Amino acid sequence: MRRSAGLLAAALVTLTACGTKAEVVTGGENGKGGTLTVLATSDFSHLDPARNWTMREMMFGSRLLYRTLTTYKAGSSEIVPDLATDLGTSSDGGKTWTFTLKDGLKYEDGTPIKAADVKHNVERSMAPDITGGPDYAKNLLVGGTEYKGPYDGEHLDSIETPDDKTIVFKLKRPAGEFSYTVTLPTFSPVPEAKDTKVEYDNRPFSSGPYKIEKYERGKELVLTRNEHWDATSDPVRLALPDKIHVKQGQDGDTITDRLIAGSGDDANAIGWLHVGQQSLSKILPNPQAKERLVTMVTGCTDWISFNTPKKPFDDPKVRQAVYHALDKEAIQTAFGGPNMAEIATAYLPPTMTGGAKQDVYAIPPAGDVEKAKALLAEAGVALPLKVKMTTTTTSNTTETAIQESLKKVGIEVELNPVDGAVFNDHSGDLAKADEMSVHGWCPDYPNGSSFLPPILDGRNVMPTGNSGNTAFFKDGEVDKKIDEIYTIEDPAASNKAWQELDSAVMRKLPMAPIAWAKRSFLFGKNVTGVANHPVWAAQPDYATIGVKKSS
Amino acid sequence: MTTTPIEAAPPRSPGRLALARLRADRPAMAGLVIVAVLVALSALAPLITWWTGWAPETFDKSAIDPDLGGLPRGAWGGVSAEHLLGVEPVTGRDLLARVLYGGQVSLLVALAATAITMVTGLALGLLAGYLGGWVDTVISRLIDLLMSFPSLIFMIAVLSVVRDVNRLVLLVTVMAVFGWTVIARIARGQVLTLKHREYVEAARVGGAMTGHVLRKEVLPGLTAPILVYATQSIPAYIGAEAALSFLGVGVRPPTPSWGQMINNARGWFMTDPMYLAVPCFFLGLTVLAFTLLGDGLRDAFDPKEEAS
Repeated sequence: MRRSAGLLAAALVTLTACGTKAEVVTGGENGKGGTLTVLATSDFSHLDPARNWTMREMMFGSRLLYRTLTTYKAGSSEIVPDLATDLGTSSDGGKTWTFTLKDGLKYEDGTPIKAADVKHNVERSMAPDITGGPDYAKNLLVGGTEYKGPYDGEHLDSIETPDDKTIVFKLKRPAGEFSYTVTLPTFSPVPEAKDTKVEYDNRPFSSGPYKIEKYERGKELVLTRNEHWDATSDPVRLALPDKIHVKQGQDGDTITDRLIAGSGDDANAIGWLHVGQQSLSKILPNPQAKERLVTMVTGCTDWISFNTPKKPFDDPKVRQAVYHALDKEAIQTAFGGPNMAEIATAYLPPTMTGGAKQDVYAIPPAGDVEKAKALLAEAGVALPLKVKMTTTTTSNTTETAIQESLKKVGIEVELNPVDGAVFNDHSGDLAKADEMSVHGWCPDYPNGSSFLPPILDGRNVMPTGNSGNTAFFKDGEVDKKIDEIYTIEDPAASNKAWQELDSAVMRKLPMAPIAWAKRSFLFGKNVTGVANHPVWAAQPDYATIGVKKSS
Repeated sequence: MTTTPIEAAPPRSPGRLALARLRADRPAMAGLVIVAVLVALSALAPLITWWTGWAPETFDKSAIDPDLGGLPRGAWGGVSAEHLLGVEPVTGRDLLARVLYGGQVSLLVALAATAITMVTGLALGLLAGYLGGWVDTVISRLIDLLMSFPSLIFMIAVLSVVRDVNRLVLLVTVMAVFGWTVIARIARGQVLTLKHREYVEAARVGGAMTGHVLRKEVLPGLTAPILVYATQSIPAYIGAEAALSFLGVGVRPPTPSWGQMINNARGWFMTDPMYLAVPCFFLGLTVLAFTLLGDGLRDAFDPKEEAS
């Protein structure tokens, strides 16, 4: 998923890459029952599983409202079977994947969940009206890009449901990572009889542990137990609270202040959004608030995209010079300091490399000005070098820090602030883009195939609308390597190959990685089992959250 | 001081009378002093920052605490001998330097916009009022058109779309395009009454050229209202510049401006109130000083208004 620049609000506190940090308050039976309150500033983007492609909502939907073929363990990027009995079996060299559903799975009205319902949701995700959802199914399935959805009676032949329990996917290319792909909400069941098309966003039909009792968009969402959900069939969701009440339309600072105080009902509350940089200084010096804070890296990487087809950054030496000149400490502070970001040294975040931080250049954190000047001289660039960097009108601290560090080596960066709404259009336009801009990427599942190809594959570069490959980077060798890695079926071997590709591309440096952002969340003192999830951008995993009786 | 009996004083010109009234107006004089000090401080900003050693764009990593999200170290937003007004959170840039350089931007934009609108408005208003006929119709309709425009929205649109030009020039131009209309209207109205006065008619009958009549007979009658209006419009332009920079379409970072600083400080007002207070104080003080001065000038030139 694209990470829009400028949205680096985020989080804090200690704790490095991996995230088991639930010991603060104990969960388990202690947290069973009660009402969990979620304090949110605004409405969900989408809860319809075919349209849900934002990290928070993907977590919320697939933990509480719908089950997918496979899913992640609580607080871990390891996958386990969910609706399916196993992680899927592949044949035909990884191009055909078969899943079998568990017995006795039911919707909120007691009707059985059928394989055809999963097929229906995948099909509807490709309908032109059902916008916003992940495009992996569309791009992977045979005939997916031409298919226009099930609403005019056409069905997609590359998904077969020979019986109510079996579903077979036929793919265009070998996909060793397909067990991960089916964790996406696209692969949850929606029965055709309950499909209200665009309206489905307002009232998804539950296959998970909770059902929607009331949903007033922008105001509140009330979830109550789905009595037909069978805990024994579900290895992940604890479904502890009896009721979950999402209160929307609250002011962000007010939410933080209420959670810091944690009095009354707020003791049973958790913040939907991460804590902002400005609030850190209110929380960290306050021990009773600090112990109710969980923090983790988001699994996203932020970088400076160079406009690689254009002078002066068509020369890798100039790009490397910029990279050496960067004062990453100052940039880290612009992100909110060590509690809100780690200094990035590679494209793949540590959450995707088993915690290893690859670092090809090993530059000191505050930069290497001498080396940068030497590289510029080697490239024969006339100084001062004048370049432009796109930024947004609302948030440009990071860009200002970059500007300041490049000044030391004679690179004069002019900031070009554009409205946040057009930032991606502007910086993704091959003809109009400035020389530099800050972008980022969050993977949809913890496999290199969800990270490196979208940002590096030169065949994806279009004249306009580039949101992944924002460096417009075209390199035949890299494209070839991507195709090779796709064919590796063993997930461990393919992840290793992606890491090697990461290091290889770092030497060419189409983008200069700057930060691995962290996020922190505050919760009330009665809330139990809060642990960030590494896949959903460090959002606390609602599968394990409970509320204990106040003592 | 020995008081000279008023009766004994020689008859004074209206201008001198006004000046005397202004001198006696304490709030107006206070405004004038503050304006003078602010102008001097802004003009001397390079000298002051040379003395403190902190340029407005220089980061100071030691002045902030990265572990607390970049909050300035020390009380009162990092006020110290090194940074007299504290520092900006996250970057550690010196607030004194930024607020002084920001003042340069605000004052420069406001004074330039006022000067341009005065000249344009006065010229067009004179022509419309004195010549009448189709000239008056064209100019008056143009004024109506511009005044009925949602100017702020238009300014935001223009400032966001136009690229690769000097932002200060652009800001001044955009504000001037919408600003001259009020002055032109005032001038036109005054001219309409003045041009039928006996002394003007006499000059015309005496064979004076239009240019001469306008300059020597009509224009002096306009000085007072225009001067008053100009002084009062300066704080309005300062406010407009701050608003546009607040909305992110004004001057570009790292050039500081008060509106931009206030915008950045919004998120910090709970944890670092100084960051918000410093630019707000300067903005408020400047607007207040110019307003006091403008009010004083109005009262001085037009004492009848004093009662109301």
